[in-house]
Amino acid sequence: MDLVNDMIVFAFVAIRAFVGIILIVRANKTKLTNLYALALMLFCESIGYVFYTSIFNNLFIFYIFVSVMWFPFTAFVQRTFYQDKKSPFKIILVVTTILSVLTCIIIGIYQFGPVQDLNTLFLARITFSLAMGVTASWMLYASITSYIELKSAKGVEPWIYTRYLLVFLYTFGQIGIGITWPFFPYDKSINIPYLIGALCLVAIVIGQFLAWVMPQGFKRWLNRNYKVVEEEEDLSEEEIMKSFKEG
Amino acid sequence: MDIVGFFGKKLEEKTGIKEIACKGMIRLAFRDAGIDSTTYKIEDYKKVFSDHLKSRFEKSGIDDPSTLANFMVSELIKNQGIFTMSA
Repeated sequence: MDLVNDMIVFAFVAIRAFVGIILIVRANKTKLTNLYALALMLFCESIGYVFYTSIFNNLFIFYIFVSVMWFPFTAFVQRTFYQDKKSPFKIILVVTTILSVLTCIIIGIYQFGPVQDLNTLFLARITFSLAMGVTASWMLYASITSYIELKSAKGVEPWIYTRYLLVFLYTFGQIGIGITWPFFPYDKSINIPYLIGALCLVAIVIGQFLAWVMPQGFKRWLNRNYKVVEEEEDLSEEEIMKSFKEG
Repeated sequence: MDIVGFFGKKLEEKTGIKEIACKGMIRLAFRDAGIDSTTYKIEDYKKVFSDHLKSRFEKSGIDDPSTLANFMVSELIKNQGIFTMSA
């Protein structure tokens, strides 16, 4: 059971790290610094999950990495959707910091304290889930409002709409994990919250891969009914200025 | 994804001027600013729309160039997610 579980976790870690590398390449090419933040979040999450396996099992290190990842994540949301715009960034940052610090302190008490009290672990799970809920809800709101705004625009290729929807869906999956996380079994058993959480995790990994790697074949398939408008010959500078003068 | 084309369509919807002229106008503004119009940086677009596109509107003699330039900047802020999502 441990081996299967570890193999699944390592597969997810590898996919996420790959998505992170793709994002870094894209960030270098486009100079979009927010993509570095998203890549950093994925790397933190990947490293964290390595310590969730039976081989490297260390809950304290796991929670440190998966708590730290919310900072680049909130930076990504801010830089992607809220530049020069009113946003709850500072409030979310403060709340996430408090919850993440609390998570690390509580899990430290659990791991290094004299007694490994399951109630303490449950509390750490709650604070971690709340941090996840706060940041993911903001991303959910930002992506869906941005998608609605864009939906009315003309000439946007379908794969771009799909990327918005995938981001929305996998963020929804993150909230799903956040809700079920505190109720995961403490031993190696499987319960309903664990199954729901596992399904959410699969959806998140697939969603992140499709959204950010966006393989060419998938992109072409999404654009299959999209007609590219033939570019007319460019107007001269005089013609452009004249068009505007005549209104 | 042609981001200049995206904002060209927005300008067309606002002014009723043909899309090709709107896109051309934005490209001229980028040329004036000395910035490559294939940029994904929102800061570049903001600078081009608020300064150089506004100057182009003024030169063209179109009504209310400031309002039009402000409209383009507000569309830019509203749709800023497109830069990341189309990258």
